[in-house]
Amino acid sequence: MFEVFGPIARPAPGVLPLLLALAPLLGALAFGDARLVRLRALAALAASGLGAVAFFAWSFRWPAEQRLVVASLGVAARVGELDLGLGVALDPLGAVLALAVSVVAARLVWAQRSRRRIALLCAMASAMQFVVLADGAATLALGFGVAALLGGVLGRVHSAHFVADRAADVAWIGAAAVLFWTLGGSWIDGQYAPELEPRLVVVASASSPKPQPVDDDDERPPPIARGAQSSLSFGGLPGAHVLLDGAWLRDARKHAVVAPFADVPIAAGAHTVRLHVGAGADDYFVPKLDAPANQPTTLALRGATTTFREVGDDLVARDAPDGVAPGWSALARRNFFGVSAAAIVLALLGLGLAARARVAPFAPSTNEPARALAALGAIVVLARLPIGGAAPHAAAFIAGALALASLLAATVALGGRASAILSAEIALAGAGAIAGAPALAVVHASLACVLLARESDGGVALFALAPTRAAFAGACMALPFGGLPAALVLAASGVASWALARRGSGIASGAIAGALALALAVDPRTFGSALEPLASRVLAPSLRSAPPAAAPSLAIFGLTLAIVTFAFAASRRAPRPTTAARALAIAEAPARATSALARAIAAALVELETRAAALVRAADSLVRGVGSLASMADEVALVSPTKHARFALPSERALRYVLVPVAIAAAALFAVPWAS
Amino acid sequence: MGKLIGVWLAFAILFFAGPSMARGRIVVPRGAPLELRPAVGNYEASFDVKNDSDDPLWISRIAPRTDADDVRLPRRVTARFESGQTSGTIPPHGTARVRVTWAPDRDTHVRSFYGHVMITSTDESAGEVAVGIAAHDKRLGPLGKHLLSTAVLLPLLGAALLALFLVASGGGRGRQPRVVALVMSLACAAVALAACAAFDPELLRAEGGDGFQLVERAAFARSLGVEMFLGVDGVSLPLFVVCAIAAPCGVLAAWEQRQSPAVFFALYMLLVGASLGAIVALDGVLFVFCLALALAAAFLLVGLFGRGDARAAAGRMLVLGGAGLALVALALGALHGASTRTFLVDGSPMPHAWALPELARVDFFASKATLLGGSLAKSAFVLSFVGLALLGAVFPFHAWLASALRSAPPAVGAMIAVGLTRAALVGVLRLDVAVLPESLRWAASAVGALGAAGALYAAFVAVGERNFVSIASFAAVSVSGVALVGLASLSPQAMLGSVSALATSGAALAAAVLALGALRDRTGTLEARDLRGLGIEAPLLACAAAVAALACGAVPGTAGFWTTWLVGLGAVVREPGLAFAVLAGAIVLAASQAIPLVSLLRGRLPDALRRSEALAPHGGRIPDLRPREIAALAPLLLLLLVLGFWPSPLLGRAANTVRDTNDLVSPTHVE
Repeated sequence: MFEVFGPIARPAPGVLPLLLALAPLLGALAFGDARLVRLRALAALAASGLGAVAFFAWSFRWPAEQRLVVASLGVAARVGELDLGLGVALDPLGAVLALAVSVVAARLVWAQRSRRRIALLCAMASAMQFVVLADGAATLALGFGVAALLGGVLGRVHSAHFVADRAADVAWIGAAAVLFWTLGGSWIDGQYAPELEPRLVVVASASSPKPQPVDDDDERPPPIARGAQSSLSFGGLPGAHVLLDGAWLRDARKHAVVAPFADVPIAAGAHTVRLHVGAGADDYFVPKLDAPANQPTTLALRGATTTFREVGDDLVARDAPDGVAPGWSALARRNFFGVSAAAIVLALLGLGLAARARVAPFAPSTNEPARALAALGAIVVLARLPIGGAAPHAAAFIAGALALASLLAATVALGGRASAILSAEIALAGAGAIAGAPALAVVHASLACVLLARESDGGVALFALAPTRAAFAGACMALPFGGLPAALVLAASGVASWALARRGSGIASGAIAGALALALAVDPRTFGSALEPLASRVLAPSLRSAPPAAAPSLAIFGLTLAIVTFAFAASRRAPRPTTAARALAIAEAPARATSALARAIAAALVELETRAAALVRAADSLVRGVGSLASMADEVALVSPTKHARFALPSERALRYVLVPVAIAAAALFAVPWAS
Repeated sequence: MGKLIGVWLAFAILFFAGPSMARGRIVVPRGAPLELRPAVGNYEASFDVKNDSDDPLWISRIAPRTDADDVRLPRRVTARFESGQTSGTIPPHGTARVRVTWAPDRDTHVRSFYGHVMITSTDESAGEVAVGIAAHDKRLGPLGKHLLSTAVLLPLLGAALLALFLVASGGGRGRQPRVVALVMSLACAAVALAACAAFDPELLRAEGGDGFQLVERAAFARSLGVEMFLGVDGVSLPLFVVCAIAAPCGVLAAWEQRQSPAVFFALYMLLVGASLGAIVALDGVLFVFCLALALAAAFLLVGLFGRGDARAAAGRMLVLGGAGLALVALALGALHGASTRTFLVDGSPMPHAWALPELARVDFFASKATLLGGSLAKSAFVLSFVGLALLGAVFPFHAWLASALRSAPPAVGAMIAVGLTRAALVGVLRLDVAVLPESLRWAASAVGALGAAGALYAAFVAVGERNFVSIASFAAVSVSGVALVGLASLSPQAMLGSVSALATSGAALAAAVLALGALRDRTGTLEARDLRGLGIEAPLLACAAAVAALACGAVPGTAGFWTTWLVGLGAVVREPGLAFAVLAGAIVLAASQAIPLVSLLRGRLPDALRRSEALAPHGGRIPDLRPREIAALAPLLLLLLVLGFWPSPLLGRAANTVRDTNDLVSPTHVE
């Protein structure tokens, strides 16, 4: 009997995600002359990117819940309910992000002449592939940490960057901890009460018909034909061995099955299942599993987890029995010492995101092109964790705050700090992800990477892409409210404005054209009733995002337009001798009308930013000051009392005669077991 | 009715009169425990019980010393008379053969054990009599039975050889001392790795043997009840291996020791052997003895061979460490006095126990015994905790560590970091967690607060420090604080983080001390303000120093990262405030490592240093690492990096031990 119904992910084990993540490392082999190294690096990155494209195209042949391939690298730690797996997973969203990483890395490698820097860039690209394909929090944190270190070696990094990275680590550890325990129980009067429900449940896939309850006691389910077959899938607990009815479960080739596994044939009918996970945890049992004939059966873990897809599965398992889409009610109801746990998780994720992506005030220095890759990965943290709708009020608040941060960062860009545009993009992307619009996140994150990759072209070139960015953001946002026509109009206007600006890159145009093609490829009939943004249906079917909240979506869209205005105002400073540029200026006349107001606000915000930076400097000084004081206190209070403890030391001659008996006696002592 | 009365009468006569009629004197074999030999899939042995009197001896019960509530032996160990009975009468001056059998389960993880067969008889003067039994897995041969003692013995043997050589040669100059030390330490590391391979991570305490593996047990001071009792579990094994791996690294680092090399290496090997012994000691007296030996060796090494104000640093270490040892000895003595009757490995009865697993069976918290005017359990906990914190350089008792490491030769500093201090922290787990779990629960808030304060305080001090070795040593103090928070939070995840911290922070500090020692040998200084531009001058040395510093800072990609992760995640469930402090401390710790590291690696070498006497022989440049130095640093650095990306070999081996330990201390079972 199925215990839960819903769209549980049914991952298939495979090595493709691992190959995609490791392929850039081939480019890190720095032997040979610089040209050869660069070619090799580009080839490795191209292989990674093409692999992602191939998977993306191929995956649409499979049912939605099967568009997921996982490669487990083992378990970092397994104790109690904690199963800190190291693994990578490839789904359509991951494939798009992996492609973006490859493209951005290739762009950065293309501009390099130094073998060492090319090798470092490839290593960083590999780390970032692990980030965007991460299956769980551990892989994500590890990949991000390594990428940040490599980025530090590549760029002219201030020590504060190192600290900001650590702050991001810490924020994500905090978020993972609160999420983990919240999924597994709740705090009642300050005491944690774990859930007592079974951890391992049997799930019917979404495509299976939900059986009707049997009213009449005499009416029994139809008998299962002899020899009827079923299949079993399980995507968790990497390395666990499976016992079906007391015997090792074997696949078609008679090999013992090890989790994760998919569609292993079993006889239809009733079974018992035991998962032996080894050291650190008890075995998991399913006392009765009714495998229906010719239908897949999936096992899923409920409760505490740090694996992203299991978080989604858990929420589905909790909320799907009501027959509605995941409402996140289980997580939204939980409190962590009086505060919404979902809000804390979101806030910590946002903080980590800001620190990772160098959103002001975490960016004491400029010019750090390699951070483009890190910036992309930051978005993935939010896009991959399906908790956007967990707490609508918290999500709206944080999305609004991020949007405001983007505005703040964009104003700083007026002062010539090109990297602030990155902050703006990242914040907008984060806001989109939290508001339930992964498409927005992906578009903004990709553009952020492209922009940073082109940083050497100067700040004005960055602004040229702003109208395009705004238009696509608007398209994503307008879709739920205005339908396809509005979205297409906005998208088309974006492309037109970009073309007029004539400042962009082939990469950007490719990305935009790709986004448009995706928009057109989707069945228009789905738009009428769909509340989800376009790309979340196309790019991330495995994410069960919540309907976007109207208020934050509109607020973000409004703020995006405001940024466009600022960007336009800035771009007017640059000479635009061409007719096309003048046409652009006419087309953007409404924006020009508000530029005066925008400048005034910008000035105020720049001032605010300056003061925020001063605050950061003050905090830095405070830490150093406290450190110096603590060091002095340590010397005075703890060291001084024993400062003059000097003892007479034996001479070498005397020591000889002491050492002999002592050493022999000690050796003899430990020889006692041999003697006995 | 009459028949029934007859039966009752017969039964009563047998019950009351039987034993009273049999008042013999029991004699059982003594000496080494009875070894069970493999026999057709089982392990078997037999011994004779003798009645050495003119009266018959009534044996009312023969049984292995184990039960469901106190699992000492693996399942399916049985002891019966050859007749198959577990009771019976032995005629005057007669003997009866007892057969002991162990039929291991197919999926058992127990490969060897020590235990007792208990015999209850009518010999009231003897009371309950025990016969020691043991079984060993034969697959590893004779060495497999003695892996731990061999690993400890090898460096001690090296020390004895060097001491003899010293006396024989009248000074001990030349190459021999360092070759002897290297061979012995390499052999020690190889045996430790073999022990690691032989360790079964899936063994649980519930399967017997208190969760310890590779146990070696022999009585060597029966009158005092002291045993050579060695064993490892998931807590001590990683540290044991890391310490053994660090030993040859230290020898290589000190390869060019000019001043009295024989004395130096003899003392160094003594320090290594004693530290290893303390890590695996399961007898209280042995543990204290090993710690004392290690402390004495470290004192002499720092005092005789250190630089700067070495005598003061050594003196401070001896005073504080000695005070710590005294407190631990006092606490252990009190617990010994309050413990109940037990048996040595050969079955000799003892009124009180020194063995830590036996002490762990006594409910000191429920006893009315007192120490220094307070409850014994609480007082002993405080005394032993403070004592071990003094030895382990835990905040606020860390005053000696930075100065000792600054003054000590790099090899000695590394072994103090990974051996002496970490062995003391293993003592906290053995004594304060396993023996006094209720006391830990009682003091959990205070211990946690102390740990959190230490994590933050030491991180801030590290920010203020300007000497690289001091920065690294305060980072280790900070991580020790994190480990205490993990212990005090009483959740298995956080405890696993604490266990991980023991091995990884020790290894990181050892690597940092060795790398910085190489730098000091070249430049003559380790002051942050004097050193810049190492990345250009000596890339390999810069790389080694950077990896070690990052490992001290527990950043992602290094082994210490998982400590922060696990303690942060585990502590949230019970002590969110402490978790917050730990995580904040991690950020400050990162700042303490980043600021000097960035300045060390970047920029250009200061002209003053370039023109200094230290660099004059090298033409004003800092020479890069030599092959010998690379060999000294590579094992520890690789270990830190490998465990950073793949921590399973460490955490997987510790997981079951941590769960068992958590079961002892956790008030409500939250996993």
